[in-house]
Amino acid sequence: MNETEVLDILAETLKSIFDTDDISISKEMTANDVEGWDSFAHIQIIVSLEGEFGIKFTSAEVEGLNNIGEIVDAICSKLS
Amino acid sequence: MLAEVINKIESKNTRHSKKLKADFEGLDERFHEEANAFFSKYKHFASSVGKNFDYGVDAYLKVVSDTLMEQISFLKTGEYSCKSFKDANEKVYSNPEVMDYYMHGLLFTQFLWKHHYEILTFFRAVLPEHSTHISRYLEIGGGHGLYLSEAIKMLDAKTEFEMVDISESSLSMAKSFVNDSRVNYVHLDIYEHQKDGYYDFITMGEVLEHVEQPLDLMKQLNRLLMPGGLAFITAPTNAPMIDHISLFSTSDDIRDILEKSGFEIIRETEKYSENYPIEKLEKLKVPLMYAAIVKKHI
Repeated sequence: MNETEVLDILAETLKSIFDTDDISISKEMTANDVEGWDSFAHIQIIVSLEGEFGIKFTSAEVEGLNNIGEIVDAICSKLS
Repeated sequence: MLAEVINKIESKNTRHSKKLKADFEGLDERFHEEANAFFSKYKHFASSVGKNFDYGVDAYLKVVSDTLMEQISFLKTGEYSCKSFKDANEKVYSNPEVMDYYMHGLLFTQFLWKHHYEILTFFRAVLPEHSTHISRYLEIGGGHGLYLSEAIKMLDAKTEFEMVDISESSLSMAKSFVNDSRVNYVHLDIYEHQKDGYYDFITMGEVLEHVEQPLDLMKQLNRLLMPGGLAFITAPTNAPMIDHISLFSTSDDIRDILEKSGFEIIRETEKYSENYPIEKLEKLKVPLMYAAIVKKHI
């Protein structure tokens, strides 16, 4: 799975969790750019991505992944 | 002091500091005064036990981090990861390194987690209503000692105060934090406590979720109270943490235990950890803290 495919799935995940189609995702996007992306939303995103990709994030990753680009990189790294 | 805490947290966990700032906006001036006083007290306490303020902040962030991972597990499984007291003992209570940061971190949550502060406020409101009837006060599993410390301020100077805890490190921490020679600290499993019918008021905050048989524990607490005696009980629902064993899914689960163990609920409150609409709170199983003053049937 390439980076673009991961990004597309991530975009769909965010749209589902925030119940909106109005999210234009970019690698620079952070939680600050999305209204409602708080700790609870973050947990939902992590759980959804772990399920979707069959991966597991460490606690350092859960807390330290600060933007979409870092999340995508982490996922791609785990899938490779 | 509160501003210093938030700044330190912000430097290490921006997402969490954002939540704290949003929560504090909804709290009044009294909260800010009390939080400042509390963190000043903590600073002195930390120094007295060979720690410093930064240790407290780091301990708190470790608790936040642990809780986040537990919440992820809970969202996937619908269960707490800790299945037995043996698990909790191995993972936490018998592990001095974990107990140390965990107790300091939990102390910070009493003011930094809005719903914890709101329950503390409820305690401060209800205890004085019954203070004239309290002369033998027991706290079970008091942990860091904050509630005991608050009770001492509100009750008559001649009150007998006792704290029983199964953890020596908790007792040691409480002794330093409370810093009042009137308190009798007893290292004991509460099931071995022999003073049946002795106490007129028992506080047991956030203990039920740590035991395998919470109904049995409440029955033991009932035995220790005199007829008509009162207890202040708190317990959370849907609150995964590293040493939580018994899952209460709703406040009714807790009420059921209180009533089955021979108590009448006099006053109660419940506070969610997040400010979401009720539908979202229920759908996401957001943690809630339940608190009640209960009376032993005569």
